[in-house]
Amino acid sequence: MTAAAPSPFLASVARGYAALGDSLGGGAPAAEVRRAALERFLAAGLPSGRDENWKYLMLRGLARQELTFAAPGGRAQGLPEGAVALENATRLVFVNGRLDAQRSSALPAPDGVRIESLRETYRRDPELLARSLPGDDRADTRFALLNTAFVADGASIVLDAGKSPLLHVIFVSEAAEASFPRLSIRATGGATGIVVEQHLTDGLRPRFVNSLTDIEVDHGSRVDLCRLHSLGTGAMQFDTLRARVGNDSTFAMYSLGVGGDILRSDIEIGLEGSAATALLRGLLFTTGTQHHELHAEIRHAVPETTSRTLVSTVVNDSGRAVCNSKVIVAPGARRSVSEQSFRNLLLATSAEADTRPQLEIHNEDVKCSHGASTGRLDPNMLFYLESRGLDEATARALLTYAFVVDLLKAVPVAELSQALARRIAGELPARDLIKEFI
Amino acid sequence: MLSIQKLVVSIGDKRILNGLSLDIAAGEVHAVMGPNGSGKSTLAQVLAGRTEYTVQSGKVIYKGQDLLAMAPEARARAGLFLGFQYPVEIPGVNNVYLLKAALNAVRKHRGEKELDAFEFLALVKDKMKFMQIDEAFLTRGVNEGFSGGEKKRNEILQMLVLEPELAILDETDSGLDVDALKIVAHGINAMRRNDRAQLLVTHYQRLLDYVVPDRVHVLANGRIVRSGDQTLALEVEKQGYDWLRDEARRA
Repeated sequence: MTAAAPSPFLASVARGYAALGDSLGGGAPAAEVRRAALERFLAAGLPSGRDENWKYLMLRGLARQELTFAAPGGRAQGLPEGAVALENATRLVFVNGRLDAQRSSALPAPDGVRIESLRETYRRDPELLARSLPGDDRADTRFALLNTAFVADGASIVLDAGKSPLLHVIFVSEAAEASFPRLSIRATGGATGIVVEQHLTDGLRPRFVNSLTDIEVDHGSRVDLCRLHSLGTGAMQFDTLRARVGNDSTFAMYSLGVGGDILRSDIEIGLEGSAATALLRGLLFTTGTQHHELHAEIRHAVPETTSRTLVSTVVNDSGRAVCNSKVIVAPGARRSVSEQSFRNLLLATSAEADTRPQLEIHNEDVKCSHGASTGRLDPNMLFYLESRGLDEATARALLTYAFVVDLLKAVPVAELSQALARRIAGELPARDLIKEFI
Repeated sequence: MLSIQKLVVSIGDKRILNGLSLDIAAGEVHAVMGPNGSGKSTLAQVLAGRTEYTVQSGKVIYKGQDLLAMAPEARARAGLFLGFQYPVEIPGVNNVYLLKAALNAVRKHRGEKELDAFEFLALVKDKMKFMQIDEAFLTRGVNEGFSGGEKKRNEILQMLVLEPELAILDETDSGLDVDALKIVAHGINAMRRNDRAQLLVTHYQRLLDYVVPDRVHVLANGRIVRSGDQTLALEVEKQGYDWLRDEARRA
């Protein structure tokens, strides 16, 4: 049997690795892991429409594209354009996947947190890179493989004391190269911390961003991770997040997608210790022809674990939002509690939202619920506003904005939620009508 | 000020108002009483412009205009105010921003200067004090997390700020304890003026102990079956609604 010729995309990936592989750093053991990841990726290829979780996202266009790979180089100074200003945060800026020390806050880090460049981490301990390889090659882990093949650097954050730092990790994709950002967070021993992870591009050019975030929260710790995907026009992001939550620990994440032509986020959370909790809140806001997808799989592996998922989408123009979540409760995971709730708001007749909450329960002693609603604005709210003298268009715009604001309220960094609310308000079709409410 | 003429209203296949007629002159306070399901709330909602109801026939003239032809916001701007029986919670829309927008919509319509944020805040704080509403209210979403009584007080606060010519208060008294009832009544009384009118829709007589109406009407089966002065409300309180319903049936 002769294999079909590789797609331009795969061919460019192979060429890129040949050109760059040695410069990615970490020495021979790390190179071995990368090569293994590359080979698995090239053998498996891009996910196709035949893969259940990929039926809405046609990657044929991507398969025809060639990625360009180049050595990194940050040029600009100061806070990258589009980065949310967080006054009290320790800031780490990565340009095309590599640390830009000039634009980052001065290290050493504050008490209770150890920050290291992953480049250093993997050089010291290549095993850590090997451990980040996905266990299988199924479609949903394909982009984690690709990231592992090309990852050169990233942020390693270790929280290990009761102090609660605020960290802002900014991944900028500059020029037209593919970038492979990576973030690793470990919290243990009663640590708490808030991390804002922001992905952005420096202009309106084609970009390919393939990010991977690994989280471990254990022994009475809590991590709040606010992820802001705010890529520009022409950009696409394929993102993977994996989290393991241990005893008495909480992982709260806020997945906020407001930019990029394509945003695909695959989230996998394992609740592996007693009283482990996962809170997943998501907001996808699409305009134009943007296509955003959020896929979450939450596994309740042990008893007395809790997960709460609340994802809202606001879809405008001919955009599309796809939300898929699956909660799996293992046979032994008794007294588990799981909630899934999805709310979609369509602002135009050609807008589309596809939602699929799923439950796979393997024992009887659980409390699980799921619900989804797609629709229009609440007629009672509309009438109330109109009865106070607001015209219908203003009332509608205001309720749309309120829908967003209500979701953002849960975000634990006020500067972030406010900046995001303003940004979204500025992109609403009827933005001029509600200026005085913002 | 308001003239309702043989109003017939239905929702779906169900007829709710059956040729209701009522005239309210400027300076008057009218109370409409009636048992559950008599059509009281429908009347209030139709007057405010709720589109779920279908007006089959009849007319409503408000200040010389065909009220039913006006959009809800046009009615509000023309000085009509509905105090809701169940004020809706709107998380994400700030109370005060809404009230300011509402007031400025009315003022603009009247050809008055819109208030700036500073002037508006001074006004609303003054009215809040009058209604004994906590300042924390300023930063909250519309009715968000309010108790039933707080929601009703908020409706009256809105009325005091907007100064409507015709206020329709739909069971504003229900669910209030005596102290809250007195505050609400105080607010309603403060609105009385010879160029304004109020229509109080209520199930019970007790609000009328504090707000003395000029006329009381009893509604049954979508029609006014008896009108009188405030003593009619006391009679209803004593005897219930059955005797009036029976009387209406016999008529």
